Amino acid sequence: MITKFVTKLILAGIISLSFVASQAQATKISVFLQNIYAPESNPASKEAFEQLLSSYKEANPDVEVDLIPYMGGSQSDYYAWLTSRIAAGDEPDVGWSHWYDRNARSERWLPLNEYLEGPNEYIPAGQPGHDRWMDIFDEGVMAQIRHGNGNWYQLNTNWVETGLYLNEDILTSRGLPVEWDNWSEFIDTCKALRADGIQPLGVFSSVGWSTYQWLDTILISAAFQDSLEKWQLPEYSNPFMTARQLTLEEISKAVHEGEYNVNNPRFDTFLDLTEEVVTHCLVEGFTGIPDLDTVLNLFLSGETAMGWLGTWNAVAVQDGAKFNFRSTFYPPFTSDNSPYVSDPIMYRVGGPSSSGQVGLSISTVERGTVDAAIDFAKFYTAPANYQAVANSDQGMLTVINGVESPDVAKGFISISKLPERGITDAVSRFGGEEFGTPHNRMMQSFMMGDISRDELKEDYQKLLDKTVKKLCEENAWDWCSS
Amino acid sequence: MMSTKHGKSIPQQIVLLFLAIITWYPLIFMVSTSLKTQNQFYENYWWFTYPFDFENYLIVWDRISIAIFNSIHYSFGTLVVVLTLSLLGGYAFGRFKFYGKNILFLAVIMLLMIPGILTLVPLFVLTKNLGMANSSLGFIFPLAGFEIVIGIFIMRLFFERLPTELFHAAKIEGANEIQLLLFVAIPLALPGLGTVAILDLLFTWNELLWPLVLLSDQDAYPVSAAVITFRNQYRVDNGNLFAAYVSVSIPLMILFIFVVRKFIRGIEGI
Amino acid sequence: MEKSKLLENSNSRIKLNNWVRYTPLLFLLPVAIELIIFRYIPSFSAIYYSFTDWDVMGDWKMVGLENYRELFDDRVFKSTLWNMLTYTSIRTVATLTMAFIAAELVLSVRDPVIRMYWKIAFVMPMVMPRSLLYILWGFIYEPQAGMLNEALIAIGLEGLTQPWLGQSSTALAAISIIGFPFVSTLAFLVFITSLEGISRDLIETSELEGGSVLKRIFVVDLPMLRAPIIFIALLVALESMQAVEPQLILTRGGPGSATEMPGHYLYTVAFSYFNFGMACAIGVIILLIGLILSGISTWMRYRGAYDVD
Repeated sequence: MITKFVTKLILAGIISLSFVASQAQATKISVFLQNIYAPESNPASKEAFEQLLSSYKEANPDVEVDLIPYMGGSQSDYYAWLTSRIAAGDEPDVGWSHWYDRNARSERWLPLNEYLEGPNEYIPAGQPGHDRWMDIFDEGVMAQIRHGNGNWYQLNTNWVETGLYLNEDILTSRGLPVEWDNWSEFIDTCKALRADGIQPLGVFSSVGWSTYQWLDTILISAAFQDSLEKWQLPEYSNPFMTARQLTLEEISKAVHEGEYNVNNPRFDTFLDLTEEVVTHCLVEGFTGIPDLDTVLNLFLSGETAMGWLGTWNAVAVQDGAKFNFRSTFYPPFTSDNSPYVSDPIMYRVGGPSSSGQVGLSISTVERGTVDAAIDFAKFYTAPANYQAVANSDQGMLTVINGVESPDVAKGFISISKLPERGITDAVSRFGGEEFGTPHNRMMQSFMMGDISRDELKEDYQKLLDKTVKKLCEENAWDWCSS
Repeated sequence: MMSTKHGKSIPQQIVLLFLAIITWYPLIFMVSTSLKTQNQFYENYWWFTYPFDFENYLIVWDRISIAIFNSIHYSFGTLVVVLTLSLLGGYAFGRFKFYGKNILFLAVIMLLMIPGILTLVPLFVLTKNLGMANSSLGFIFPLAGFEIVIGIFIMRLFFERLPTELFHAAKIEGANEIQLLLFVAIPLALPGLGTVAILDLLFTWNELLWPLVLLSDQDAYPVSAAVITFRNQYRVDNGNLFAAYVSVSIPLMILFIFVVRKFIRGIEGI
Repeated sequence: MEKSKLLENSNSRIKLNNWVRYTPLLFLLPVAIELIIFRYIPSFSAIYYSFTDWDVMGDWKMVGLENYRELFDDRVFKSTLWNMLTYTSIRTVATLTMAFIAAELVLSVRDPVIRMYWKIAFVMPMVMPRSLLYILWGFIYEPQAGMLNEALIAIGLEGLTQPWLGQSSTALAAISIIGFPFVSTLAFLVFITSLEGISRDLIETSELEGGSVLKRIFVVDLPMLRAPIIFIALLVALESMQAVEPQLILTRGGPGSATEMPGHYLYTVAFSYFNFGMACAIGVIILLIGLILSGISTWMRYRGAYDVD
């Protein structure tokens, strides 16, 4: 047996040597597209990519594309996989990344500006994008994913959107409305349901990513609404978007200047709104539900009257619901809910943090794979090629001009036109989970009544200060020293 | 007073039956879920629903069959390394008295206290530098490094229990150390090695994080990682997922049926 | 191999003594190579990183004990240690107790054939993948349609239904008893084989003296099982201390920090915060606690044990 292993070792050596030799002729690039390419759980994506890769191979016989399939499991498994590879200098050339990476860890990615300004020959002459690749991407999306330094580190091919699914049978049989004009009416509906022994709204809250965060982000945006515009910095201004999310620098500066602060009365409003929605709307035990799948399960089995899920659940809801359902969104907040709301705004939650955000690793420069990787990205995003990928997508909205969204996602297009909430998810708010996780932890403890409002405030302010101090060290923004 | 030699033990049997049912329920749950469509799952997730949906198995079979083959390959490799090294280590610690023995043994046992996740990244970097990333050697040797610790522990206990006279007698007859190992120790150690082999197999078969991090090519995935590919973050089809779980458990169960008696006897050596 | 050479050596008495002296070390050589490469080097580099601010990418600098200082300022980390203590104690005691009870019950079956079937019945489920167990217990604890709550309602104890994993008062206990009744374990097998090994004389003497079964268990069985109990307790404790899966699949350490333990906190700090230096410091602390624990148990296990020449 030992000899067998020695033989294997030698064989492995020979194979790796021959690999080095063959590299001289063919450029090999590795590509990871998160669950856009998930051959096991989404066989349609397998077909789409088999087609795409073979036609790419035909056009570029000397480039070998190693498409790495989605590994399943949780996002943290992916990060364990990716982190180990970065440490070993072996991360994919073209890779998916959560969108906040563009701010917090931009040094990992290659700036794409010059390529985006250049032509994309895979798009027929005369069509948008042929002369300037940038033109095929949705303007609003491009504006939103631009880094504060003016660079683009990512391309976005799709857009994730959340949807509030309603069990119409439960609501209408009790004479309750399925549409609301304002947040108070929504809360009243919750109260009526709860009084009737029905769990109103299914969400789950977790220390890591969870759908409670979506609620958190619209509540805090409503509480601080009148301040948001004041916090915006001119260098990030964006002619395409009337309401936009605050960037990392803007929100950090608000902390630095004592605006986003626990002593600001708006923070109390945020906590009041949180308490109200927890008491009246959220499914009991929402802090003990492990994942979104369970929330879906609760909704489909009729345990909750509403479920806050994603566009990507549309297929499962369609197939699984034995009742009349509809998808909708939350009504606007008014000055009744928060004294700091000047004009009623209906926020939506969604955005570029989707499965379709890819960047080029900075290591491609060293490896000499930049050109091949860019070329593949151009081919992949060309509308004629991407359409097949979009069709196999599971309920994301496509944001490449000239490509139609998959049918199942079309119902959400109107929601995606709603104004963006001003303050983003806790995890992305300060560029990562180092803020998001403790934020969620504290809010959970507060919502369950384990810690008092004062205790929460004390810990929360410490966290804000610590986070911004660290960000200032990393980014050296000019206002930091003052 | 209750259980004399000829006494009946009905109450004991009832308690045992109760414990056995709870112990077996997860397996029943696994099988029943694997025969459900997603809608059947939402209707009742506790028990079997009719009609059975065998399609789940057809869907997962392509991926799972490759993975089972891979896992057999990896398990075999790990088994060879683990058994050889556990035997040598256990024998050295169990039969001999030498300077620094306790310190060395503590140094080995200390490895049980090191959380696997702690060394994940350094281990991957090392494996990559040895040219073993994305290869079965990169799976086998690092994993064996975790498994031999308990293997050595068990084999040491095993050899300590063997009567010394056997070795003395063989020595007097002129056997050298290699002969003692090959012809006296190994035959006597077989039950112990069998136990180590089974524990090792269970560990290799179910190890998830290392293959997930090590391998990028899903055609090289062992069963544990292959099952997870059916657990998409955005959409879980429990029927598929559990059909995959059942499929990967069957080979191990079949093997277990054949070796379980030997395994149970082997434990006596500890 | 080099058999002839070895034989030649054995002819010389002096060389033989040297050979004997080094025999165990030679046997240990392959073990040492494997462990040094795949265990010690990664472990020591992790210990080294615990004194740095490495974030996996690019450069790092030495920060001395800064990571450790920060950890002991961290309220969450301090609670992870208490949670680990609780979780480990519950699991160790529960596993040992249940496995011991099951072993005694199976032993009370006098017919060796039937007894074997019971053993097999409890050993077979060992093949079940562990991640499956956590997924299943997720369904059991689910607050609305979960099995536990439904069972409570079915027997008229509606008032006792809880969001088991959703409140800090029950979450830690709930994940601690995942896997109940803990019979399908190595512990059960080791206990039953050890109990079978107790000489019949001892048992019969105890019975003749008119002692009850309980008395026999405490006077004869438990003392005889000291070594295996310590061995199994150490294994269960070490495994529990490093638990990551229950949090990864079920609670993510929440709610609040109710089920957060050092192993999962390490995972979070490393792969969510990318603060690898600090993650390594957590690992070193787990290591130190494990070392103390195993030091105690090794001493207990080998106190009075003899070495074979």
